[in-house]
Amino acid sequence: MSVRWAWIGLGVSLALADHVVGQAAEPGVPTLAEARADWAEAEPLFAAHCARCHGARRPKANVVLAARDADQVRADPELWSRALRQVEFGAMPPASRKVQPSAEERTSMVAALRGLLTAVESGAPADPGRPVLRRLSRSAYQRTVRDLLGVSFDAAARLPADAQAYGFDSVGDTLFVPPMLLERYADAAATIAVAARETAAGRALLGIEGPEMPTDQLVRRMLRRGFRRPPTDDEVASRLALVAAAEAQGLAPHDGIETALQSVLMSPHFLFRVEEDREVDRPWRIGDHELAVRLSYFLWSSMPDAELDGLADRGVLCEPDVLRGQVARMLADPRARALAEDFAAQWLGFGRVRDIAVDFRRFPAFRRLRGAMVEEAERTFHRLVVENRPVRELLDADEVIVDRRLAAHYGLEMSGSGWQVLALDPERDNRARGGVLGMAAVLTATSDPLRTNPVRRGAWVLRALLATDPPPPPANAGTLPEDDRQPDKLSLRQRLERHRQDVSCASCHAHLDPLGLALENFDGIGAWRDDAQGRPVESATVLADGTWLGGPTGLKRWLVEQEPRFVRSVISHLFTYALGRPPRLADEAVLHEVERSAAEGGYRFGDLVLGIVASYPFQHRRRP
Amino acid sequence: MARAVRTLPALSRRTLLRGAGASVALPWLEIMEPRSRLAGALDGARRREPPRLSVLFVPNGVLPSAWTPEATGRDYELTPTLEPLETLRDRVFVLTGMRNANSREGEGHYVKTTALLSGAKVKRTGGRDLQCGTTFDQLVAQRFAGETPLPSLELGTEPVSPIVDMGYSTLYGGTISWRSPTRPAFKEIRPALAFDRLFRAQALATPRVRSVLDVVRAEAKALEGRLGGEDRDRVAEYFESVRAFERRIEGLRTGADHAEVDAAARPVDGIPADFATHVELMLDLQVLALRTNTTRVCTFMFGNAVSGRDFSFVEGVQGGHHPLSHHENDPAKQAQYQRINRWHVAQLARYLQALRSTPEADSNLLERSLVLYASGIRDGNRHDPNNLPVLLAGGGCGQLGSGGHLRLPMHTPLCNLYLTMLRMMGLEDLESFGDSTGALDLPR
Repeated sequence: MSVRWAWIGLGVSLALADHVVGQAAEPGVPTLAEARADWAEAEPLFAAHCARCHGARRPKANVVLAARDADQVRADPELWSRALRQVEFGAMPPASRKVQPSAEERTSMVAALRGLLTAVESGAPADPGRPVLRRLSRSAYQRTVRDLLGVSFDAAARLPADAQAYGFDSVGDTLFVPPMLLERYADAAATIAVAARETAAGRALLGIEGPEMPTDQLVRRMLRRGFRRPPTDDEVASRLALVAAAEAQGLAPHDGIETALQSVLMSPHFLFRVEEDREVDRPWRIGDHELAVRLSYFLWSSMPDAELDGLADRGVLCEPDVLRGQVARMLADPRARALAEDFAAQWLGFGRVRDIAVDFRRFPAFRRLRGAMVEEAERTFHRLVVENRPVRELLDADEVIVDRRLAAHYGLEMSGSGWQVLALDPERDNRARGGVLGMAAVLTATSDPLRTNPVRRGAWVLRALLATDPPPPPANAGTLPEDDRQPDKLSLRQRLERHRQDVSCASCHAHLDPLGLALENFDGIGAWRDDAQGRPVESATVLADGTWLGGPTGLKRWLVEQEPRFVRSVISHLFTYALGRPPRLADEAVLHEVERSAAEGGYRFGDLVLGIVASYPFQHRRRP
Repeated sequence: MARAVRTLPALSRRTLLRGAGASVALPWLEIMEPRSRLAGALDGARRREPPRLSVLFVPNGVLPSAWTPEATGRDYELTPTLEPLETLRDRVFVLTGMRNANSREGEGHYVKTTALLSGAKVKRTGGRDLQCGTTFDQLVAQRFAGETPLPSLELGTEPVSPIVDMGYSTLYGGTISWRSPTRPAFKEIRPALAFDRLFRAQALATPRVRSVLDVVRAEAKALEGRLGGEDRDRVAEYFESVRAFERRIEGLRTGADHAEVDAAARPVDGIPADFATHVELMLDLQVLALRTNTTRVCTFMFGNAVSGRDFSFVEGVQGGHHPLSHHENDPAKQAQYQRINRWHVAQLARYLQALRSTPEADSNLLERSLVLYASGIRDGNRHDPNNLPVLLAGGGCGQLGSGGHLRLPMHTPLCNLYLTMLRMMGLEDLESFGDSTGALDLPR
């Protein structure tokens, strides 16, 4: 039985960390034949540990896991992926069951099941996954309007927030267009078309300034930019008709052009990122214009610029060297700040701090710090992007980017003003800072209004940094008091220990709590504390596998040792963000290839992006 | 239409609908003249006009001991939480014993919130293939689409929070209305934009916008034909939204949809910092929408599922809604939880009073409405969708008798109430809805 890699937001169980992480893993995805053999070997374990309760007759929770046959398992990947997650995390079999699989048996079960779910039929055609039509998210709409017309439009105040799926608001599945939104778009288009008269880019596009140009050329150029591809003759003709109609009514010439612009901003070809389907059964490589759009919305949350347009028009963007050069250029461009503001803010959750509720009486400093916290996180991530630094620096860095307010909050000495990169002095400074674990924005986003929330912090470490999604708690799980100052004087740690005595809670909390409790030296807004509720903070914790963590710096050290898992987490979140859908089990080989391609440089952010851009799903499409 | 948009400071608006007595004028409603929207619909025809429907959702359940009255019938004693309804008790039914059986499984809040008005099962998903069920308010909206400028108006106070929680898209917890089993109806949380939703279309009903809609509708149709699968559904949704907007503009052009609204009534941009003001504004806008007949169907979410909103502004409360709802049977927490429950009921009372103070024909808006007030769980400490806290208010255009406390057989499907209400709303031929087993026999 070989142990294979954990991917797809599943991660390796902490309970098994000593077995899995410690071993030299055999990379890659098994062949189907290998996977079948592994399954046959492990199947009795599933029969013994799962099917007792989840058998065909009166199954617990209506979940039937009585499959002896590998094909049955592969036929229901959704069900078995859930089972995989539960077994891997250690939540199943429940702690209340006396007979538990040994650590080795659990490893075998996880590896066999994952192998079976991810193995690809040899010779099977590559599959880019289901196509997803994505509407411009609110942020993308704002940025696109800015880059098309130079108009700064406050989308947050004018358009409703987009719902999230899989942690990102740019995932196609939840980008609906209800009537309410359409009216909002109509209103926005009218406002923006008027505002465009006043900007240089707008005046150029509307033909108010610049060289004299026949109307049809003017319209064609407007559509080329607005639809992010060359327009069809019909599309041009319908706009020319708008212009002619305005003229027939005796309106000024620019009036008709403005109407045409409004129709561009309202068109499904502007509001959606449309990709053409083809009448072929095999997947195809997307065209250069579509590639330019995927690329620019991935890296800039906005439309392609003139250079990308030119390369796409010439049909050379897909050439690997050209593509590589463009990715490097785009990541160095200021517009790539969108990766910090849209991608990282959602992946790491620090964007929440902008409108999070924090009790101002308990944390009076927060009012001044709110904006700076988010700014620090964005600047830190943006620097990683622009300078193509290794993603490991997010876990542990010997520098922080702060202004005076934050430096004071962190207890760091700083001279001068403005934002500075401050080197941490290992002798003098607190080594818990440097990296996302010591970032006030992250520590605040994972807290409650009146206190820290160790369970949420633990779940955040697992989900964001280690690509491990903890199973949800049962509906009747208790809650901790909202304020950590309680009459019974129990610390949060003592309360959680009490909670863990309940066997139905123990199997998950044994994994979550130690990670979150290790950060207890940071209060609800990320300030350092040695004491809480009048006694010393105990942040030294022990992981479920017995690993001792000596508080925040110990957790940091441990996470750095988990770098492979962290890198996988970065890749799988990037994949979801770039493709608009989460990776499937069948994408495991793709993710592995991205990782392999970035290994040599030490997993630099730009290299990971390049790996995603070069991947088969990013460059291909199939029929739905 | 050229309208100088002038905005008033938020504070002065706060008192606009305050003053519960029937004789108190409603200044900002008086400045609107709902002329032709109501014209010609008087007398005999009016009586057959279906009642307005309004649903108010409150998150996190209630403290049961302070909610359910002991006695039944008309002369029951109001419980501490229901006390604010004293002057309205002849128009309010307290309905005890109903449950939403399909939302027993899943998790504690999201499922029970998003399926509250449909009784449907909710698909566990982080976002792809959301699935719930068409809600009864939307069924009404769809039946009467075209008769009012807007089929329905969905309002709330909190945005969909940016996390997937417990395997469920949090969209579920921020949505109580579903236009179809897969399409949520999004709510508006900003007062100014809600106002625009009601009246801004008048400014957009220009020849230019109409010609633009012509072009993009044709483009959507062509695109729809070239796409398949879910992509096609998404473009179809866009197409239908264009059509709905066109119908609305057409109504404006022919004068069927015309309410003279003073631009000064538009609330200021942004979300009021003070929650009480925010709620008052949103409910005022509902009254305005119903009064001007801009729509007949409104829903309002006081908060999203699991809302942790700080309620320290209520006397005797120190903390957030959801944390306090987990009272763990601690009397000190229960007392605070109850005060939050009571605050919500007081807002309901104020809203009902505003409806009652709005004359219409020979009666008032409350008599001509059905108002449902409910939470998706009974006790915030237990997350059970049994014996839900449910109030039904209004006269339903003469279909609902004077109020009282009704104890229904335990576990009566909540959908039985919806079936009853749907029939009152004019869907008489409907045989069932959700998991309904029959209509309720409410006193007339």
